Amino acid sequence: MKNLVLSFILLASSLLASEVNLQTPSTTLKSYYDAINEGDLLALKKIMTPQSYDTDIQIYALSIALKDKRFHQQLKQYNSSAQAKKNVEQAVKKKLKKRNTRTIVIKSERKLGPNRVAVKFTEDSKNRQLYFSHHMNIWQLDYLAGRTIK
Amino acid sequence: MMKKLAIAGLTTALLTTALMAQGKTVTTTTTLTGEQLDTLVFIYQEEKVARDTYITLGNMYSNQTVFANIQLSEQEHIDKAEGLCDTYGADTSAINEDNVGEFEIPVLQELYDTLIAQGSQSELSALMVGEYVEITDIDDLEHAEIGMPSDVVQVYENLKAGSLNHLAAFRSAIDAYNN
Repeated sequence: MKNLVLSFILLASSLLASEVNLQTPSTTLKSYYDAINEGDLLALKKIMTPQSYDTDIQIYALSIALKDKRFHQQLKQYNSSAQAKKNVEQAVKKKLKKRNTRTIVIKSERKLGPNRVAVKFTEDSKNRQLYFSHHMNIWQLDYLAGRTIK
Repeated sequence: MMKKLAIAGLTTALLTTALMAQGKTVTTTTTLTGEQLDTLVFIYQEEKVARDTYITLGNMYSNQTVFANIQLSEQEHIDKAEGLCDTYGADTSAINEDNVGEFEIPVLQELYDTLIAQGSQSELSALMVGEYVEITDIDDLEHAEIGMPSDVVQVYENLKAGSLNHLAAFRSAIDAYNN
């Protein structure tokens, strides 16, 4: 019975977790928005390069830090304290879960080099673009991949 | 002064610090690694956040000349960053960041929106946003020049000197506002 309950919990968590598909830049983009909309930071870590992930977390944390001095101190230690990073991530997770879901429509993919692609899309009808790089057979969101390589 | 301010002293780098190369030596070579070129291109995009923030806050508080004065200088920062990209052959043709307050990269839009929301609360908040942006800029540039060739370091040092002037201007305006 205990095993059955455990299996059910595992199944339910896997169904609730964001579906991560990193096979193409566009599927990675969709996975990114699913993860952002659900506040699924574990998925985000798979979807983004580590530097890009840290960038997102710190920027999403900024609005909280501007209103909360204690949290501000935590954010200052994001890169030097594992506990502070964890606290910041928890706060960002909560914030993302409360955020309105954004609707995205993919418009085009543009190759920027052998292992990088820009995807143009709209987010709630506003023009957006994100960059992706290819590593180990997956496409990850990579803010540093915006340079065209000929 | 820092402790008095709700937003100042937040030294967590917004973008660039997280994206920095790890080298510690200033080199004098005339070629950059792919990672350094990528960083240059990102800094170019990031500079626009500061300029657009000042343009928007300057429009909100038109009596505060500090925003108008500094936004011109921020345009020069963007031009210098773009010039470096050109010098080193870092192709920025995929980037279109012409419209004020509009960013193609969603997280830069989030950053801009956060700063404007804070600055919209009051004139003093807007000045503190300016102070915050400059503190962050200086911190970012100090990290960005690590491992870069001397001409890049020179440009970054010039940018940093500009940011220090801007920081002094914002602090002076904050003091004047408080007095």
